[in-house]
Amino acid sequence: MDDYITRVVFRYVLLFILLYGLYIILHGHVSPGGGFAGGMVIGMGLLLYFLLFGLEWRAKLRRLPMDVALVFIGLGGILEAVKFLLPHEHGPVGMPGTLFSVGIISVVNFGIGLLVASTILSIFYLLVEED
Amino acid sequence: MDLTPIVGVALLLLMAYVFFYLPVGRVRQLLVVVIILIISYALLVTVAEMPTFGAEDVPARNYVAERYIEGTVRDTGAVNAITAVIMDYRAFDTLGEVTVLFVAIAAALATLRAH
Repeated sequence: MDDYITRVVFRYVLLFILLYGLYIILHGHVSPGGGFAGGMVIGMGLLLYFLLFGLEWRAKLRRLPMDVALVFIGLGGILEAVKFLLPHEHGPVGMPGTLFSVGIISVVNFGIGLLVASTILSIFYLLVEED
Repeated sequence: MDLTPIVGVALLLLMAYVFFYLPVGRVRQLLVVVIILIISYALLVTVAEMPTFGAEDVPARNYVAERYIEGTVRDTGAVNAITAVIMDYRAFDTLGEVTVLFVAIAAALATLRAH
């Protein structure tokens, strides 16, 4: 899409879109939202970026989010052994209601957000490759 | 004696006979209408038997829900009880859910890329 105004405006808006997605993911245990919704916002922002500025970053970014998510899940499983994802093995770590008050909930939210964002980008790549 | 399983099995056999063996014709149409009426009656009776939504004595209101409501902040530290249930109490269920999402996307990619 070769539109000057859109490109100039979106260059500044993209940061806020990604920031908002991260906000939703990190505040999943305090406010409505969480990994699915925040990952969707981040994926849509990146999708708009690729729509506007072309696919020259595609080769570098293509497999990155899913690989990072898989590495997170694998490292978590290895480090935790049997206790992986058992209820409240990693209980509250601070004042309830603040940002860093939960243990593994934030990690799980982050992994889910990465998976949802990479899912949207994968579908977009696939549909673009059809041409 | 409860006749429900016998009636269910008889209905299944009738459906199999009608849909797979009976030739197309007036008798088959009539039997299909009868089967649809029986299933509709069963579903309507089931709906009529359901407890009132939000009533005090529904089976869904038991110690599990009370434990979640009372122990969310103490156990997990999360203020959002829904997130606490999804990500902490039932985190293993969420892992399966995310796996389903991943497998669905992988299957869609493989199918579409084959053409």
